[in-house]
Amino acid sequence: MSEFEYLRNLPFGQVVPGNSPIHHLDPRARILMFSLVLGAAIFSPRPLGLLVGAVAVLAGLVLARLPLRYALRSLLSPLPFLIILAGLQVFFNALPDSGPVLLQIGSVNITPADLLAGGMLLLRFGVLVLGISFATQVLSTSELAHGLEELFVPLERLGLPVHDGVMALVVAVRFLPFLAQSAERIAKAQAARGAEWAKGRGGLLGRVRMLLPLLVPIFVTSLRRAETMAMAMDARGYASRARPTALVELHFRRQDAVAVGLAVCLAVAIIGL
Amino acid sequence: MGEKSVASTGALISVESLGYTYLRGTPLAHRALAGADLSVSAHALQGLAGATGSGKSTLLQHLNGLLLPQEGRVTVGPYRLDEPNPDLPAVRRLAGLAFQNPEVQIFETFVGDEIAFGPRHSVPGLDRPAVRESVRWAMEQVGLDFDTFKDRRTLALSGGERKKVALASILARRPEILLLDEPMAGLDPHSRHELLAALRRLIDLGLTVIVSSHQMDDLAGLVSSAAVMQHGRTAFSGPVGEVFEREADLLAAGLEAPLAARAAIELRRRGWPLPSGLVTPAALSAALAVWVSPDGKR
Repeated sequence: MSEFEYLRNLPFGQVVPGNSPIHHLDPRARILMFSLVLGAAIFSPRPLGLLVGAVAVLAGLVLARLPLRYALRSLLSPLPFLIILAGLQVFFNALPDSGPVLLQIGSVNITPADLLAGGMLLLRFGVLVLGISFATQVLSTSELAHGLEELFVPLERLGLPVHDGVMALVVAVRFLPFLAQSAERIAKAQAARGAEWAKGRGGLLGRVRMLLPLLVPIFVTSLRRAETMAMAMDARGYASRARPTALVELHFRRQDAVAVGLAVCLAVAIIGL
Repeated sequence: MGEKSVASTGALISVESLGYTYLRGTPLAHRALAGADLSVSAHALQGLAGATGSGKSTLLQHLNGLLLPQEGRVTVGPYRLDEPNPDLPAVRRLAGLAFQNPEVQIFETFVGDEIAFGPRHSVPGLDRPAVRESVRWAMEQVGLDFDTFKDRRTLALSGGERKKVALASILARRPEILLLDEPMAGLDPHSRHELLAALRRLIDLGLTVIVSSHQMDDLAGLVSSAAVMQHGRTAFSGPVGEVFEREADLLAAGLEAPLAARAAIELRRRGWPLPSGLVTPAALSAALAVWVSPDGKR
């Protein structure tokens, strides 16, 4: 095991090619499904609906034949922050105190409703993180760009720069693995020249202090990479004035419609239950 | 170089059936090494030949403990890297690695700071004049003028200068083993010449050097023995004179024998009684001079 494989803990933005029913759906259908289910999970007011969302995302991962352990690992890194957030939610939520008081700390009463609110926050973010990681695993850059563009074509009539917006979004998503990689390279370069990268020194604060010298070089390499990319786009005549014709025509078939229909039902269930 | 002397008998570096998989345990797992072997004795000049993706870089990163073996054994000097908790700072002090792309390993704003990073992080700590002296020495070794370059911005360097800075930043730590990943890639003939000269000077200083390359012509004039990597394993190895004449085997590994070696093979095919092991232009011309005089008579 290497101490430098940051990518290993970052299952965002890494496409995992596959040959499953999910992979074969029209990209637009996949984008719509993810937006519907995750959007519903954001606004779901009750725990039962959130559970439906969690089951739906897990079932989707199984259906896409993606290894669950890899997907669940994406929950590990944000977990400490989520637990802190959930703790704050338990103590300081805006819900009116109702039901029996389980615990009283100063002027704060902890009721079952408070605990439920904290649990729901954990579950909600869990579903979102897992769902977004799932989405980036089954949607390639070109599929995402293509699908979003087609979906937003109506907005173009209103004079909105759909093509540019989509491109900016896609580039941003795909930059995440690159950031992990360049952090890995710089960390290796510093370690090779005597920087202390020995594991587990100084706890959390020590780890943060270890990452600080990486920040400036990462920003510099990222900016340089962005500059090179802009030049490459210019060189290939990228312009937002005319819409380029696509190499692959998208076809929205019956199974895509069925899948989106299913996602609508799921979304209704997540919000309604 | 340093005070620590390395056992003079046997190999300084030895790698046995080393295996490594990147992103192990994820759907993106990629097996980079599967049974690599390497044995390098002290003060040797070892070439590591192989096509892109054959595992050269991964192997080199094992030799200074940036990657730790998943399978097999790696010994560098007195350190066993396949055993739990190896002394990584000590291994990295002993063996310095210059990466393939200097663009990604240079992280400071000024050349002087970049090269001083190693000495500043050395154990025990050096005082300012000592750091300065190390930087000056390292820059001299690679042919960079200390006063001209120490305050240059690293972003403003040319490709060849960047390679030199990368090399100097490793040398400033005074390693006994120098690991160079594709040092010649992307250099123009002039910079390449200068870098080769710098490398020869380092070899004269008594360092053990391992150079990886996919250009056999670069290796032929520099190293004395070579190992050829193919699909993550060591396909064959030996003295350069032997290895670089195996034209068909090199082709199978995605490589091309050096121009001089190919010319010698062609001449032999046409009946010229040339000795074997002619892999550099100098060696080939010397052998031909026995048969042909400058006025064209045989």
